Amino acid sequence: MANNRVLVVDDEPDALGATSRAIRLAGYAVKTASNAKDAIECCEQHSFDIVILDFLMPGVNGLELLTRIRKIQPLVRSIIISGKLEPNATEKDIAGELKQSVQADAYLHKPLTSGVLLNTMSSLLTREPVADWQAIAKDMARASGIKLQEAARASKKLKALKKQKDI
Amino acid sequence: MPKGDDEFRFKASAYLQRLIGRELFRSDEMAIVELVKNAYDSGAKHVDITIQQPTIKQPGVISIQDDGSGMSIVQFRGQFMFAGFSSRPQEVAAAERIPTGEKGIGRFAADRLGVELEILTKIKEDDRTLCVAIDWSDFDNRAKEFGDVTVPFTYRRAVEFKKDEQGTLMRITRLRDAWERSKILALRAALSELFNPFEALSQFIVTLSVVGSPALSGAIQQSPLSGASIELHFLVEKDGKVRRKIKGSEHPTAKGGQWAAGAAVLSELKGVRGRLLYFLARPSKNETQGLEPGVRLFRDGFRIEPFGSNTADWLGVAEKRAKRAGHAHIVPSRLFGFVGISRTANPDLIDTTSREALIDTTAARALVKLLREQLEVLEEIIRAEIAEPRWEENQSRKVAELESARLQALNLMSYGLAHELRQPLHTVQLEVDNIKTRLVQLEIDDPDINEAHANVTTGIERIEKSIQTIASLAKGDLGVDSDVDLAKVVSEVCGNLEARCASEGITIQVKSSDKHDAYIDETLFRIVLLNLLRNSMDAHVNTDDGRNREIKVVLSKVNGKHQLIVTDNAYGIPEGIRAKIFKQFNTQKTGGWGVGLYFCHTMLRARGGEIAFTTKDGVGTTFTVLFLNGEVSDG
Repeated sequence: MANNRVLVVDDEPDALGATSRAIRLAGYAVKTASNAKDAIECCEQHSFDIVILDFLMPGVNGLELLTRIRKIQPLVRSIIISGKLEPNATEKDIAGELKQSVQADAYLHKPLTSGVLLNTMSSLLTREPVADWQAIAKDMARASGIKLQEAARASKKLKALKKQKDI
Repeated sequence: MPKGDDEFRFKASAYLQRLIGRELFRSDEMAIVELVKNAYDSGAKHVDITIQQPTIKQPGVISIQDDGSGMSIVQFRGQFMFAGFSSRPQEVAAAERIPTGEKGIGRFAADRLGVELEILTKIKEDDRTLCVAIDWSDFDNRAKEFGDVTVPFTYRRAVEFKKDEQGTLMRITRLRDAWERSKILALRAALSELFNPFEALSQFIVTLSVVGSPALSGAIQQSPLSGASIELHFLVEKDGKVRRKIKGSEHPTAKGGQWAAGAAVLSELKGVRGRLLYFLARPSKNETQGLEPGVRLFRDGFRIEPFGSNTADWLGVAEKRAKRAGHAHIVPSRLFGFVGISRTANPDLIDTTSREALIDTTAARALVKLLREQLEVLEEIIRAEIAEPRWEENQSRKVAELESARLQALNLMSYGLAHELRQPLHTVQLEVDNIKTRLVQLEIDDPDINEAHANVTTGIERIEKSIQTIASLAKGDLGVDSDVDLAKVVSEVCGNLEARCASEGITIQVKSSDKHDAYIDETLFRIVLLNLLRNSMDAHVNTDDGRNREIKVVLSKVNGKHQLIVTDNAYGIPEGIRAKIFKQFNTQKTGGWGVGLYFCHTMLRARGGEIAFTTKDGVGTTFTVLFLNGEVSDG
């Protein structure tokens, strides 16, 4: 567990402290960031197994930040914690709604017990990260100015790479 | 009076003709109306008015021809040529018609229209026609005596009348005014308003022909008004008692449309009758037959000007409205009245020579008083039946709107509050778990600490539940109607509660059609349904006698409204709180805020919906909610 590195991003210092403490006490190596800029910098310097993001943060929301982190670390697992108040929607609905715009691996709802959080993390670590390989390839292609045909080739290569990894 | 030494005699200047003719009538239209009345008095069935507008080639002509009895030379000399004389008061008893004129000066009205008047008149018994030519300018000389002005005539066969025909033709030339379109329209209006539309004169037809303009020509007609909200009919009986009948009202005064006797009035008013028509909404032109509002006065079927015109507020309706606004319930523009008086039955009701007022007599004052009393009865009906309920409805709507606005503000606040509470709650939950984790790591296992941890967790759960309650009432798009399938909404909302129901052993049965289309406030519907379901589920928390915990939801259409029924078989609502169930901060639950039903009730009332309940101790509770289908705008 100590080998697993976790990044926690939350603009609220108390929540950030509580969440990171819970994870640290469970034996993970934890880094924290209180804003998007710090989070990106952190991701550029270290690789993580899991990022835990608050959904609502000033300036940028958890999903936008996740999109940017994925560009740096495509295989990172992700948990978004939402305190969103949708009176008539269940958490399932919110999760579905959020999943439509970006693929996070898990969605949790505030207030959260440490048990639920840690269980979710360990179950994520036992399976492969969910990722839209084609989208990742396209993003990478666009970022590096590769043309679409080349992008398709890159996508194929990535898929092959994944296969290799599976074997 | 002492007998004098000698006698003086009045002489009249020829100029007198001008005073009782050209200068007596306010307008040309009224002058023509006078001549039409003369034709009516002569027993005519048809009067044809022909207007030939002046052109470069030919001068203008107005001719008025009737098929009345005509005049012999003797009659012409004795009646027509005798100013101020009218044999009509004596004719009254024998006549089929009650004559409209009695002043004996109507004929001078022709001077108002043109300088020259040619009269052709023929009686049935004579083949010849009397042709008289009058030049009104002959009367302009003030020094000349009235009786010295001569009027030439011939007595001959004329092409205008066939052998067996009778009647009179007045041909007016050297017109004093240009008869433009607007003036002709004004004449048409004056003629059509000449008769009481509710008491049409039998066998008297007036036709207006404008040479070269078929659009302006045709018979003069005036149909009765229709579609009035309230009609008050009144009649002064022979005994002087006023009887009244009111249509279109359930007011006690109306007595089911029967004639109801009121106090007696002056005997001079016997036979006076009329109807007051009142429109609660602005009437259409079709309903008013193009008539302007006002209370009109008719004598023996002919209108007396100016009563009912927009300049004559003779009953003080407009003045009262102006002074007392909301407390004067009659809006003048929605009141139409038709009052009939008679020359024979009400001889004291006399109009002035200029036809512009009633001469101030006791009877005239009594007539005004009588009409004002009728208007007061009408006003009382409007006040009691419409204005007051409408006022109360407005008041309660205002209260509901205010309430709803307050709730909306409260919602917005609650939304922020709920979010703010949830954030630290999240931290507290995690940190209390962290303490527990750390203690375990330090190998401290203390029952008190464990119990304290469990209590904190329960407390957090309860706070979270409250936050959810507040949040369930807090949403921004309340009050917006849209097309919605309620069957789908019911199934969704019930589905969302499935997990909790399963854990608490509650089954929800839904009865509705596959599709239930409505145009209502979906958010409100969701909030109401969710609240009722949550209340039923919370009620079942107490059922511990082994009964099947059931909730039934029935969705249906009733009289165009959408009916939602939620029934549970819990223990029912305790008697002590039933009466105040829709009041705020009324709850029997732990952790409940007591605002859910209050909110639903207030919001539903504001939108014209209803909510009610029945409950039985130990058996269960049923809530019935009606949602009004919103009005889809026309575009």
